[in-house]
Amino acid sequence: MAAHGGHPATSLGLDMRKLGMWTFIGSESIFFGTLIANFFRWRGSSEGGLGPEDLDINLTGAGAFVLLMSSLTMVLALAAMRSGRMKQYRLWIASTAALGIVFIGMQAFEFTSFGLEGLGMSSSLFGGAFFALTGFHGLHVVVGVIWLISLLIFGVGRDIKPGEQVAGDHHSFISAEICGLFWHFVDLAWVFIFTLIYLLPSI
Amino acid sequence: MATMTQTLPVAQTWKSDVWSWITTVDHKRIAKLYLFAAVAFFAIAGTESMIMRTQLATPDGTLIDGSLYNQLFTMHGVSMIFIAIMPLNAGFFNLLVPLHIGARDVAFPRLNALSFWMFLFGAIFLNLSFFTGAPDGGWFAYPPLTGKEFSPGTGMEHWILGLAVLGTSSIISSLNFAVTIFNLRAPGMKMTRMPVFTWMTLVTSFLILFAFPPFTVASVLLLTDRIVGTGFFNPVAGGDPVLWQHLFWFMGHPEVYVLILPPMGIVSEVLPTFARKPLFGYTAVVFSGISIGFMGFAVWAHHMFAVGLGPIANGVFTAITMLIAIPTGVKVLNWSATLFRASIKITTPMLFAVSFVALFTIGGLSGMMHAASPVDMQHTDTYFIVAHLHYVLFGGSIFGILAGIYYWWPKLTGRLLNERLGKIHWFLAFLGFNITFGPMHILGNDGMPRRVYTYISGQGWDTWNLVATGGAYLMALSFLLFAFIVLKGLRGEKSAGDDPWDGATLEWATTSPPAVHNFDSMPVVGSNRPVWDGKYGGSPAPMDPAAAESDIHMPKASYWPIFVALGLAFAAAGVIYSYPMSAVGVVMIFYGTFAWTQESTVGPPARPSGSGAGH
Repeated sequence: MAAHGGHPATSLGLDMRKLGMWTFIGSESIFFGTLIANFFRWRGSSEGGLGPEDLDINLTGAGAFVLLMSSLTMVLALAAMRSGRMKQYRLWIASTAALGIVFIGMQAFEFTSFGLEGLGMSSSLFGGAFFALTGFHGLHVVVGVIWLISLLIFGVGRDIKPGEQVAGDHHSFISAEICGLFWHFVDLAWVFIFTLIYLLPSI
Repeated sequence: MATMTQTLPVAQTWKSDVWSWITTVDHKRIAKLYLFAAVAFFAIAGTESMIMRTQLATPDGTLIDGSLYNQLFTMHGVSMIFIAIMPLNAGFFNLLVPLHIGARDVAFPRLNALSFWMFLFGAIFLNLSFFTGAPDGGWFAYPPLTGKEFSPGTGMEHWILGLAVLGTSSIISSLNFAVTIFNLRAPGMKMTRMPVFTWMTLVTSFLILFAFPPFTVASVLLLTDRIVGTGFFNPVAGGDPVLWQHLFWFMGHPEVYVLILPPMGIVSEVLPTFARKPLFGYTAVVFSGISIGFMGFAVWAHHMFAVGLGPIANGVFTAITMLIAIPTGVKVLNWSATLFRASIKITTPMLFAVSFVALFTIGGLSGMMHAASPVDMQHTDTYFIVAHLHYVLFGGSIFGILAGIYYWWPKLTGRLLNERLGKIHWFLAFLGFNITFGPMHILGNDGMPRRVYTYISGQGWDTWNLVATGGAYLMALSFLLFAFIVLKGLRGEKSAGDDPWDGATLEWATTSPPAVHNFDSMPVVGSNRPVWDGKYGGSPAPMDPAAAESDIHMPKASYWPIFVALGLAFAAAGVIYSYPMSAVGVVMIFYGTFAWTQESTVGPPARPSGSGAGH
């Protein structure tokens, strides 16, 4: 943000905020990696309660599909902005946020039904590790949804005229793109969580 | 120069002055804030250690009881590491990195201010615990001792949440400096031409970015153990205390390189200046710093040799720990070679820098001893370890930082510190340090355990404990003298001039203190000692006064960083005191972040300081 009109180009030719977001994602990967490792430490400690084999793959499989589709709509939103199709851009961003909300809803349903069956943070170490991992992921989705909605509320891209071709280093485009980077990261994290935590026990 | 007077502020009241510090985004002012706050917390943590040394001066000491002693050694360790040495290093990052690479500020000036305020609030929050019972489970906070059953108060919550706030601050700051160093280098400032200090800042940033997240996870899990009733680290509930030790030391070991690499960078700048020749083996010094960074992630279990991980794990971690001595030795040899056959100028910063090399080497050698896991079985939890860690973190980090303070004080303030008093300070500190921590080697070998609040006489420990306490008082005296020197320096010793030490790096090419925009024209860099090139031939001088830019806009001051930091502090404190307070904090974070994104960042033009800077 020290970069402004008249400031020389950055040394790497990369936008400052984009490089910052990539660095942050590097740090976040270790964060989720530790939570996943912690889950594997406690996977077998279900102590007679619900265990890894009781996870509902049908429900979370649908959730994974929803989240993957939201990455697609995010890509479409950015592509629309690049070519100045601003109405479509807003539509795709709204769809991404909506799909994120659907995912959170499904997770809320999953958590509630587990709770009714007696699985909680403190019911077993398996439960604690499961909720710590998926809960933190859900929290990231919530932050992502708030970020997406704020793109619309604060009118990111209102300086782009309909039909205008937008350069990759355009300020508004980067604003939307770093939100996209975060969103794709949260999505990718779910791909790992879904594969390792849900799919693996059923194979 | 009649026009110069017009640039003075018109109506500077103390209120507007305080407000300008609260809202500042200028890296040099943030550096001053970091250094000032960190010195204050250093004084608090130092006082804690003086109380402990007084208690241990004689057998059967009765000054304090065991419970207070436990709080003191815990808070002394946590404070020195997280709220004294780390922010002192951060102060130097802030002061030097933009000047070293020829930038006008850091990549994200408001995030930089946010990092400082988070650090300040986190540090205050941690120290507030003294009123309700401070954490007393050691800086490493091993469960189950730190679980709810054995630490029922709120001390551990202060530890967990305080370090969570401090860790967030460090991660944000590291992100900022990594991007700054990658992306804001002046024309010609290739990575291979960066000053060693800036290189070490980059390595340190990556250490923090990758080592802190596992620790954050571990502290959250410990917090849920205490508040929600999970049992991750509680053996009674089937949990695993050793898991905590792995996650903690995965941060804890890279952390010691976070503490030592920046002072190594400082020393790599100070030694060549006063040896009057370039650093010997620049490339070797930089690459050994990088390899220390990588290897630092693979040695954490040498803190856990006594746990019983088995011969294979202990053997592997012994081998890698010994391996890390190679890049460290490369650095020591390069510093020595820099001094070899040099025309050395003995100044206060030089005395501290040379002592750094000597004392760090002693600490490194004793480290090599307990790198071997069978030897460590004998050393662990004795005063030998206390001696070792203070030789590397006090004789190392603090002496390096003191060298940096004496060396860059003229750049920070435009004034020199008193050289004669400075040398007396060095002499007292050096003497006091060795009298305090030297005898601890002997005490450790004689079997005195760490973390005991008293001991009975007749075990051969009485004399050396008394000597160590005497040394500690000598050291305290030296720091009182240091405080006097700094206060005297603030009131105006002689004016320093732009380049009092005949330095080689870019910060000496601008005014002391630098104008808010740092450089009137963009420096162009031709080697890794651009200012010497300009003075003694080689590449052309980096600064071209004729190219001074007139239309420089600096980022605007902002109060959103302190607002968001306050929100985070409320959110953390609320976990202990009341959940609605946390909710208010979270709302503040979101509101502040949105307002942050909506404000304009470009301030009014910063005028170049005119011909005064051109010489």
